Amino acid sequence: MGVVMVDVNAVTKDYRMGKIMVPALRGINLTIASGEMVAIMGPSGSGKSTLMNILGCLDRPTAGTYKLHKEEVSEKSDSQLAEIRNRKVGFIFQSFNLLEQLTALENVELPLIYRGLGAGSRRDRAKSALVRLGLEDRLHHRPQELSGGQQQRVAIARAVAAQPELVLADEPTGALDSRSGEEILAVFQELHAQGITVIVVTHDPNVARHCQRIVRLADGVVIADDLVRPEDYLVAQEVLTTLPALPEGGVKA
Amino acid sequence: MTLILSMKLAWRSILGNKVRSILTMLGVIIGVASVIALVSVGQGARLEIQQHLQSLGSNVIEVYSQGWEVRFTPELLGSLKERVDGIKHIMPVLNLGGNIKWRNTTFDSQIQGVGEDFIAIRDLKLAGGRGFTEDDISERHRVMVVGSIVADKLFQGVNPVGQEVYYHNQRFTVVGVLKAKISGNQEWGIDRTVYIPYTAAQRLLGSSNRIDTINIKAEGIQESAQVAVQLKRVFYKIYRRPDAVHIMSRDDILKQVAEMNLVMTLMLGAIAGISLVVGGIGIMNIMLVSVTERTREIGIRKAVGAKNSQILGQFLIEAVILSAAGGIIGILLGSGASLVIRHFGPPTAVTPTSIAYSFAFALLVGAISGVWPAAKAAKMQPTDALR
Repeated sequence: MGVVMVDVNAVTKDYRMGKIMVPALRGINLTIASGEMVAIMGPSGSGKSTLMNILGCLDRPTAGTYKLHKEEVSEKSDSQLAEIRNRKVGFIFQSFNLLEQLTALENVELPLIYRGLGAGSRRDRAKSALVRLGLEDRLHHRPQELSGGQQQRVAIARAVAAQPELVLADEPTGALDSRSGEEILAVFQELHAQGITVIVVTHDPNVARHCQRIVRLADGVVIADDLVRPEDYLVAQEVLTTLPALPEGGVKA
Repeated sequence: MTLILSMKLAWRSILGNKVRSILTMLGVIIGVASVIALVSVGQGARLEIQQHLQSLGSNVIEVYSQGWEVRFTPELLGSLKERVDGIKHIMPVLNLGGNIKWRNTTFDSQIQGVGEDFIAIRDLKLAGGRGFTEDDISERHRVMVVGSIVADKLFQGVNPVGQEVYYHNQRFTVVGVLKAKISGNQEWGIDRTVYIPYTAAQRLLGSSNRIDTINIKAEGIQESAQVAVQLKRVFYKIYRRPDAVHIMSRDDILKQVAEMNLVMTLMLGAIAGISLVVGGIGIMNIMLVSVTERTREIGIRKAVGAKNSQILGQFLIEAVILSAAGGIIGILLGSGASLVIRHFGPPTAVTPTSIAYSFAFALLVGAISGVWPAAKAAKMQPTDALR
């Protein structure tokens, strides 16, 4: 195994529900190497979203340690966590989570704004990220003027424009039709090919088959951690050729 | 970088919600506008009164009788001039009211019965004709000197000197016209006054011919204070009580008016200030709602790396920008209202001070009312905000 990107050690997470504490994670051990593409699967309530929040430094574990690229994050301040999210992690959500009042370009600029980048280089980087995702003619559209697939690609552009070490996707295809979803997975596989660590949280086995490795959670513990067998592995570009082409690239009316 | 950027982000979110932003600003707009308008009324009143008082003449002391037995006779006036040092001129004053009539025009005027020195005492200047002579006073001549506004309004272009005017059914001859002392139109005051010899006024009044006011002009400012002190002593000797007369110098009146006006301005300002505070509560209310409504936005911003301080800054600056914009609109509206008020009613004066204070207060209100909502937004947990 090469450089360790994610090193989760005996992590637990309890949530307070009124007066009682509800455990969401009960001792997770997980190591992901730099450059891996991993699916985290599990039924709802298995703790996969909680794990993703901790991996993405949106939340801290109740106990245990989490090292992101050798950096211990369990005891960082809010401000330091924000810094890590800003520089090292790119999030992609099921519901895209773009800011409605901003254009595609401005949305992609957002993390670079918080990083304190100058306007010029910010704009250049955001633009090239959007071009890379095939959105060169959608730079000044607002999210509601874009299809679901396009919105998700803007979200991916926002994540990769920040040049993160780790891309975390939470049900990234959940709100998309199968073709758009497959296109998004193709982008992830491309990122993976470029050496970026990609973690996809999903309950969809077909999505998971686009990854090299599947980690299964149930009731807050890891119950299985297997490599995807070569005969099960799906290459998104190949799958796309089997899908019927939508008129005009699947743009929603 | 954070400040300019936060301002940009705040400005965008204000523009993104135009109707809500305007409704939020409304409280501050009304608050600032009412501060400007109300205080301008108070300031206008003060300036007008000051102008009028200044026009009354410098180093003038007024003596009013207090009590029926306190009478000012010509003999007393003569002896006062002998007994008190520093008196330059002294004259009795009788205030009368009513209309004067020329041909078929009447004019509501202030009529004063005065002595021959009234032009010197009041620092007046003749535009034409003459003042009163010793004869006019002693012989009770029915002659009249009119103020500039009276000359314009009543005689409408005809030279008043030599014209005959009726007052209380008595025929008076205009012998002099005064130059204007104050520019602009006035509801009352020196340029609307008509002067007649006090002896003639006494005759008009018949039995109630007592003189209850004296005007004294001192030699100078220093003498003016000494004269007031000496007068008090003289009248105490005569009447054996300290409050037989009320002695007031123009400076006293100015001081009193200033005090009264300060109280009035403060009161109006306080009333308007309360509405500004209410406006601030409006901002706080809407900002709190807006924080809840924008939970998701806050979550997204935090997910891509916004620090708590950056979120705090954004919301705080949003509140300040809202109140600043409201303040500017309020200043414009308030100044406009003050112009409208001046057009229809009392004089008004918008001062830079009231603009500066109300704007600063609006900013302060915005910042204070933004603190709580901004802190609430900053403290939000990203996982809660994204749920």
